[in-house]
Amino acid sequence: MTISATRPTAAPNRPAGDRRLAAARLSRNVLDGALGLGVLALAALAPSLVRGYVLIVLTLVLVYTVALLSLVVLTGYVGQVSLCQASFMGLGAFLTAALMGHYGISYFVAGPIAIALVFLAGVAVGLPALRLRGLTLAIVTLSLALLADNFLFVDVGWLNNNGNGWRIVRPHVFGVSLDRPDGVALFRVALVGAALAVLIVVRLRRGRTGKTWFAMRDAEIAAATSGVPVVRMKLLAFGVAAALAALAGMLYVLVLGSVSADRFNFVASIQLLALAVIAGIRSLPGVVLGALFYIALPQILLQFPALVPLTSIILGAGLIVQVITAPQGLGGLIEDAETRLFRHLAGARATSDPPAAGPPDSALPGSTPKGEGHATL
Amino acid sequence: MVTPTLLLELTLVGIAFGALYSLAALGIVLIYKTTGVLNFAHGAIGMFSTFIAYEFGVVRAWPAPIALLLALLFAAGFGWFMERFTLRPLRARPALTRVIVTLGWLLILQAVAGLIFGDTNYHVPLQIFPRRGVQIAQLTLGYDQIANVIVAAILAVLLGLFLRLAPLGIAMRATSDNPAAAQLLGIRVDRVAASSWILGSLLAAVAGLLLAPLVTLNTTSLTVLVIEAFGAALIGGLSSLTLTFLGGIALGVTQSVLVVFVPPGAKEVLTFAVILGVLLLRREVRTLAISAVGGEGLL
Repeated sequence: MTISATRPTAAPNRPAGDRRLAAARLSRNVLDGALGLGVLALAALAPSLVRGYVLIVLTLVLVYTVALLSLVVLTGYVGQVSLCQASFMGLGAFLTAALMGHYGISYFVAGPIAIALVFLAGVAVGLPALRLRGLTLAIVTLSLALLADNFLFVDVGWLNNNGNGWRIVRPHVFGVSLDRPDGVALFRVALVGAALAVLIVVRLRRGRTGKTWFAMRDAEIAAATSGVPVVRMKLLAFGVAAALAALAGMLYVLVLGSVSADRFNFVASIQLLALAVIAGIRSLPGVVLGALFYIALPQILLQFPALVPLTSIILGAGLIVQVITAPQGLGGLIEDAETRLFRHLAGARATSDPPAAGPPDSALPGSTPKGEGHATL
Repeated sequence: MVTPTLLLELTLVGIAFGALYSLAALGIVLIYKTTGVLNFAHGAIGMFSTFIAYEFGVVRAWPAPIALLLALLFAAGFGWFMERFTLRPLRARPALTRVIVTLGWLLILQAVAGLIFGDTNYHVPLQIFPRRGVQIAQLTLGYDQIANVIVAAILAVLLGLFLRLAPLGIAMRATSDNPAAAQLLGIRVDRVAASSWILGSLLAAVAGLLLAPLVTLNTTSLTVLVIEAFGAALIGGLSSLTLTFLGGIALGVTQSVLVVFVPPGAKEVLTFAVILGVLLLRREVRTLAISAVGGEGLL
């Protein structure tokens, strides 16, 4: 689908099927927009429906949606895996808190600085790994995650307040204190953050950058031959993914009001990746469902402390079954239903996807490369 | 106070650790070269096997040889199972997809070990070789540390001989050089893949069993052994067994000597730096690998 994705869509003298296809794409975009607005409206209404504990849980779902979005970009669009997204998230959280604590600056200043720093860190780490094709990024990022677990979050006193962790003073927004116990204002801030992340991802996906990413993911050599600066584009993706994870961390520290290292270890990073793959790494509804599952399940399991490892087992088993059986993920299934619907609407035979055998270096899950036509996000 | 004696002692301790990194790394390289899978669950397999030895040898106090045998049986069986049922069906799929499967197994093994054996730091590992020290000149060395190096060296040499002389070993090398040609020549590639996974997992188990008394035995410490093994394997260009072995020892020694100067967590910084360094200098490393073994094959 790469080729069709890079081809201009509105060329004159197209056969009728193509025009119908373009119409279908348009109506799909409208539907996506409507879907997005619907979710937004529902989310905006949430505070008037639920309060307190449930609302905090929903706020955390938004935070983890942002964290999963980082993997949507990196794994879904570029076909690389990162095993340190939770570390980037933790780094974002720690940096935000540390900047506030050390320099007394406001949360809304410290957060963006933290995100920028994590972006730079991501680029610096990605550079040596991404010059090579293959799986080097997975190894490097796992190593980085262990470095964060055992050194960065533990031994660096500046970052973790000499081992004490941080408690932050929540800021006021438009005169409303985010410390109010009902959590409504907190939820709204997280909603704005999540919406911002979605917006960024959608913009990137639909623009030139996204097309370049898909081209690289589906046929790296062909893309390089066509003049795509492969290494730079991969680096950009990794940097954006790191920054999104840091945004999630920035929101996390706001929601919890404190930060400590235990939520950000390497297992959490692998769990995030598993979740992203199971939930369908290219679809927004899947990602939100995934975040909901990831936050809600431990809350339920807390009633039975001995069963807490079940989260990992479910994620691990789900991951393996997912990869072997339904390569597009849960979100992919939603996306597929959508695709079928639109094919029906367009009456188009032209939308036929290539068969399921991906090229050896194509994206995870590797089959059914997808181009612009599948615009769930 | 950093004295030459202390440095020498730390170097020897480092060799004892490094030899086990090497052993684990050999398993990674063997599996990678014959099946193209980078096994992120390698450390987790070693960890789980070690806990099986702990469960039978320490908790139930069965004779140590039986506990060890059960641990090795588990490793072999699990390696076979993983290959047969979760990786063989994906043989035609991208390398990334298969790596994802091994990550799934990592999560499962670690969580199941936590459920069964407990997610604490209070496990007393099965001590295979006596911990008692032996005094050589001014140095004190544990028998277990000496034994680690000897066992690792013997296994590495045996693996080398096996790959050179045994029909199955030669078939493994052939498969790693060119799977399609190997298959055309009548080599049963499935069987080679399964054997590599069994052998590789056994190496992970031995490394875990020997390493456990030297570290805190919990569900994480051995699982993350995989990253040291990757470091060593990358030094060997994911190909040369000789360089992999030396790389593991070099990594162990540097880590061990470093504890004098920096906090213990900083050894992860070193591993990270080694991995990044190897990737940056990959051409040089590759040339070194080729000149060391006179080819790019698996030896």
